[in-house]
Formats: sequence, structure tokens, C-alpha cells
Amino acid sequence: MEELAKKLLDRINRLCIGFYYINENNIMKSAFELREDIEKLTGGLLVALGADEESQQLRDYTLQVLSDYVEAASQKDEVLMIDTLDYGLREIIGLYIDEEDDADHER
Amino acid sequence: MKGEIFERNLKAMEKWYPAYADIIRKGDYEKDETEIITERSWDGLDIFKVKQGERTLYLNGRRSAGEPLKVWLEKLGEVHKFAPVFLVGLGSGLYLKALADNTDKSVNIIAYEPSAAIFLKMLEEVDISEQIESRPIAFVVEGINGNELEAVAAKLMSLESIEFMKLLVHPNYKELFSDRVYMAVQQIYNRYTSVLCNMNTGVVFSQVIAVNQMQNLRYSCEGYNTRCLSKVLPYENRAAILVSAGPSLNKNIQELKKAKNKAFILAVDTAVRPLCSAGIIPDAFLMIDAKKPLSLFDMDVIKDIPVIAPIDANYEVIREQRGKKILFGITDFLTTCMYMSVGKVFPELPCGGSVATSAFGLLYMCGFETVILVGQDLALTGNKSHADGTFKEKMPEEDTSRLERVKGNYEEWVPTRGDFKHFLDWFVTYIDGAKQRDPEFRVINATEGGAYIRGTEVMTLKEAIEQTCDVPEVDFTECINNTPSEFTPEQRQRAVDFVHKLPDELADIYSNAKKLYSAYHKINNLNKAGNTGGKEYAAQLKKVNKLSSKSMEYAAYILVNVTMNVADSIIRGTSLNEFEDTETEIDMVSKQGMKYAKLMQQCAKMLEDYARETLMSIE
Repeated sequence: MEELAKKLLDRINRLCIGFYYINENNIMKSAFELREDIEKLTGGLLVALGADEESQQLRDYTLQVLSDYVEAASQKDEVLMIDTLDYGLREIIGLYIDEEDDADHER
Repeated sequence: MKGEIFERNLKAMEKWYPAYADIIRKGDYEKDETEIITERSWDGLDIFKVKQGERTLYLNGRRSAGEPLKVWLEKLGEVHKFAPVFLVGLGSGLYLKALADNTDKSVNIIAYEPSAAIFLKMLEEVDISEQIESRPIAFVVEGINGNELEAVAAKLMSLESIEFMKLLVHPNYKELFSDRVYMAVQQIYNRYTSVLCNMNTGVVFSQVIAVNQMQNLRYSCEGYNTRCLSKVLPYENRAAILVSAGPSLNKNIQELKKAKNKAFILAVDTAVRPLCSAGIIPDAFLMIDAKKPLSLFDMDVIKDIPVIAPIDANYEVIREQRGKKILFGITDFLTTCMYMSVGKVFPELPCGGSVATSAFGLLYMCGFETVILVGQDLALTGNKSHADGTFKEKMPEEDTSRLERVKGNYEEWVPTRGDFKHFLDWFVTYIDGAKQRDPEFRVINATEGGAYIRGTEVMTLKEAIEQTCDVPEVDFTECINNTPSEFTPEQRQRAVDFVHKLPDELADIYSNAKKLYSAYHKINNLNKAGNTGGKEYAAQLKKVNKLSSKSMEYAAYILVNVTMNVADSIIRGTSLNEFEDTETEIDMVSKQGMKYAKLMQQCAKMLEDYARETLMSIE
């Protein structure tokens, strides 16, 4: 799962750079291509979550991210897509990558 | 609460634009049907979600609206003082706020919003009064004043500020309002290109324009101009054919023989040679360029064709012409001043940037109800820029793979260059305006290739001639050669007197420039000595102002000004630089002033000598 998370993180970073800095026109296509990996990552997480309150909160959060991803994809909404990936999915990815690795990655 | 926010925003707007605020208050606008849903982002900012047809799109992130703004500002970088900054799309005003809060108050923000509904919602829901009050933000909103964008752009984009310009499109606006965003960007780009073209043209031609003007002044004194021409050309129930030198000219050039003496054939300068080589003598040709190569006119038969030109045009070509020399103005202030001294108005032609655009304007102004365009490709048809037989017997093919594509007359698309596209847009706008004024006005594009010009009827030249040239023959060249002068003998003498005064005026400008140099020098020395608060400093500043404006009062200053274009553009380009402190600023400005004054001296002296030699021989 950690490998998958790292792969996703890398692709999200690239997408965000494309959107914010190079005015890339076709970020939706790249975002659609993440679908399977996002399903695998969030599916694994949802299965692993228990019934305690913290797990419930995380479940709600994950479902909201998935719902926004679907809405952004169906509406072809770049702003919502970037927001969902950059500020939503990135949080979930953070659960699988330890902070030191993440910091290395950011650098 | 919403009413309060709205009122606060309008009150702030009243400080700069009371009439605009009044229009909004009175509801004197057309509000579109755009549906706006307001939300609060997870990081606590007011954001809009916009429903347009089947799609509902966010204008800012629902989780984080603030962080992307920081990234956006970082990408924007430092915005220079006085820079024009175009923000296309306002949304809930977050980007406008960020821009206003993070730039100097001298930065000119032009906020274009394609939807009045979004603009009004922003004024109702989001308090941006502080930002509106801080500076005169120019709001251009479709449904309120959308047609003012080009005028606002023209006012705020100048040679001095253009290099600092920024253009920003709000996220998701290209998706929601693609047509309007495209149009807005196009208008801004047009203005940008226009300023740039004028600057580049000025720099390239500055050295020869004054020489051309002085040499051609003798023809100005004769009083033949395009107004006289329009009075003698028989235009009723006749077509005019404008022959340009695009690559498609080679396809139908022979057809033109059938139109000779039936339609008025006006050629652009570059098309004259291929026309004459094909045995077609145009009734007149129009030229503009200050440096037009003489080789384009090296056939004896060309010398008898009447030439229509501004006084900036290459004098060596005009001098060689035995046919009538008809003048017109584009930005020609010197002849304008001369005509004023005679009590007349010098006629001008529209300037779309090319010879063909001015020629087209002339034909419309002469009253022709139908204008047929030939060789007006405005594109690189067959990957060539001009017809064979113009600059070379066989024009070379160019690499067009990276060029912009536009709709073609006969092809789905054709490659075009930036300058051709600029002229294409001019034609579309001009034809549209002409047809609004005169719905019977017809433009037939008989260019058998090239770019499609909206507002034209596309047909072959053969068809166009069959449709329009079933009329009795007339000798247009003879009509032109019999054009009467606009000047009486007395008026002509006054025009010559005006011209004879120019060398003395140049001598005065030289003397003023010497004094100006000395004043700047003193200012520089006073600054070095830290003495910029005293009477002497104030006196020198006053002297600089007086001397500068005094020189500009002379008509001959126009000659000096065009010659100094290169230096002027360098000095203007640095005039908006920021300085560490006032002392450095005074040092830089006074040094530039000294350079400028020195250059003015050199120019005035050189021009004075040349003017005495050239102008005093006019009788």
C-alpha cells in the first residue's frame, strides 16, 4: 500500500504543478487516469477501518473525497478536482507514508 | 447584512466611479441567467459555485480556497508599479482581493467579468470595499459596460507600461464562459500587439522618416490629397478591385484584364510589379512603407501610374513617379500643421497597420459600393508569404508548422502569422462597422486561397467580374491625373512659407536643447552636493519644464521627435524603474535628461542642415 501511496503522491504533485504553474490544459485526463489507484487505496483503507469513532470519522472523510472526485470527474471541474486531490486525497495518502519519507519526497 | 455589504461596496466605488455605482444602484444593466450558489470553504472563505447549462463548477476550492491564492500570488511574482494587470473573471472576489492587497496602489487593475450576475452577487455577498476604495479598479462587466474593454485597455496600456503587463484568467472561467473569455483576451492581445507594432515600426523607421517627410513636403505643397481624389473618381454603380500581393494572386492575376477600365483597380505597392509583368496596369497604387525597396518598382511602365502615399513613405519611389502624387495622412502631424496654416484640414486614412487596410479604407471612403479583394490572403497559402514575382521571381516556401491556424476561404484552415492575423481582425471589424453604416456595402473576397474574412462573399474573380463589371468603360488614370489641387495659388504660397520656416525652427530647437542640457547638468550637480531643497534647484526644474514645452511648440519638433524614436523608446522603457531613494532617482533622471538633451541637439543640428538644403529649394 505504501508503494501505491507514494506513486499517487508523485502523480498528484505533478498534476498540481501542471495546474498551478504551467497552466496545463488537460489535467482532467491525467486525473481520470488515477481512478484505479485511488479505488485501490481508499478501498483498502475502508476495509481496514474498525467501528470506533475515529474510524468512523476517517470513513466519512474518505467517502467525501471519493464523492468529490466523482463529482469533479463528471462535471469536468478542474478546480474541484485539484482541491480534492491536493487537499483531500493527500491527507489519506499521508496515512501510508511516514513523515520523513514524505519530507524527502517534498524536497 | 447582504444589503449592507452591497451598499458598502457601492459607496467605495462611488469614490472613483460615481456614475458606474449609480448604474448599478438603478439596475440599469442586463443581468444574465447564470445561477450562483454560495458556500463557505473549509478554510472559512466565501466561495461561488456556478451553474451553467448542464454543468456546475466551483470557482474556488471547497476544502482550501486560501492556499491556492498563495500559490497564485507566488507565481504572479512582483508586480511592477504602474503595471496594467488584467483579471479576467472575478468569482467571489478572492483573487481580486489578493491582487489588490499584495500590489502597489499604482498598479492598474482592470477587472473584466463576463457575467453581470456573478459581479452583482459578489457585490452583495463579499465585502471588498477596502480594496475598491484603495485604488481606481476599472470594472468592465458584460451587461453593464462590457463593450468598454478595448477602450480601457487602450487607455492603460502604453509603451512605458506594456512590458510589465499581466493577464490572469480566473480558474474555471475558460470552461464557463469560453467565448467571452476568448474575446476579452483577444481584445487585450490586440491592444498589446498594436502598442508593440507602433513601437517596433517607430524604432525601425525613425531614421528615415524625417528624411522622407522633408523630401515629400514639396508634394504636400501641391495640395493633391485623397479628398480631391474621392471627388473625381466615378464610383456610382461601379466596383473597385483592391489587388494585394498575397500568394494567391498568381492564381487569378490574368482575370484582372477583363476588369480594366470597368472597375477601379487599386494595387498595394508590392503587387504593382507582378501586375505590370502580367500586362495589367493598375489605375493607381498605394504605398506606405518608409523603406520600401526600389526594386519593386523597377519597370518603366510603373512610373506613369499615380501613387497614393503618406509623406512618411519612401521619397525615392515617389520622386521617380511621373504620374500624379496623391498624399494622405496616417499619423502625419507635419502636413496636418501645414494644412492648418493654410486654413485646411489634411485628410487621413484609416490605419489598420498594412498598406491593404489603408487602401481598403480609401475605397470605402471614395464611395464604392462593392470592393473586390484579390491576393488578400492574410495567410501563408501554399506556405508562401507573398506572390511570386514580388520580392523574388519564385517566392520560397516557409516552415508553417508552428503557426496559428485560421479558417480558410477554400481550405478548412490555413497557417497565418501574427501580423496577418492582426490585419485579418482589422478587416473583420472595419467591414462590420461599414455594413452597419451602409447595409448595401459589399465586399467580395476573390482571393482564391487564404484566410476567410468574416463579412465577405467568397467567389472566384471571374464570377465577381461577371457580376459587377457590366458597365461602360472609363479611364480612371486620366480622371486621377486631372484631379484639381485643393490649394488656390495663394494658399499654395502659404504652404511654401510654412515649409520655409522649418529650418529656423530647427535652429531654435537646437539652441533650447543646449540650454536644457545645461539645466539637467546643474540639477545633477546640486543633487550630488545634497542641495535639492533650495531655490536654485527649483529654478532649474522650472527651466527644464519651460524649455521642454517650448521646443514642443514648434512644428519642426515633429521631425526631431520621429528621429529620436530609438532613444525615446530606451528612455521611456526605463522611466518606470523603481529607485532605492530620491537621490538615486534624481541622479538617474537627470543623467537621462542630459543624454536626451544631447541627442536632441545632435538631431536638430543634423536636420537643420538637411532642411535648409531640401526645403529652401521649394518654390
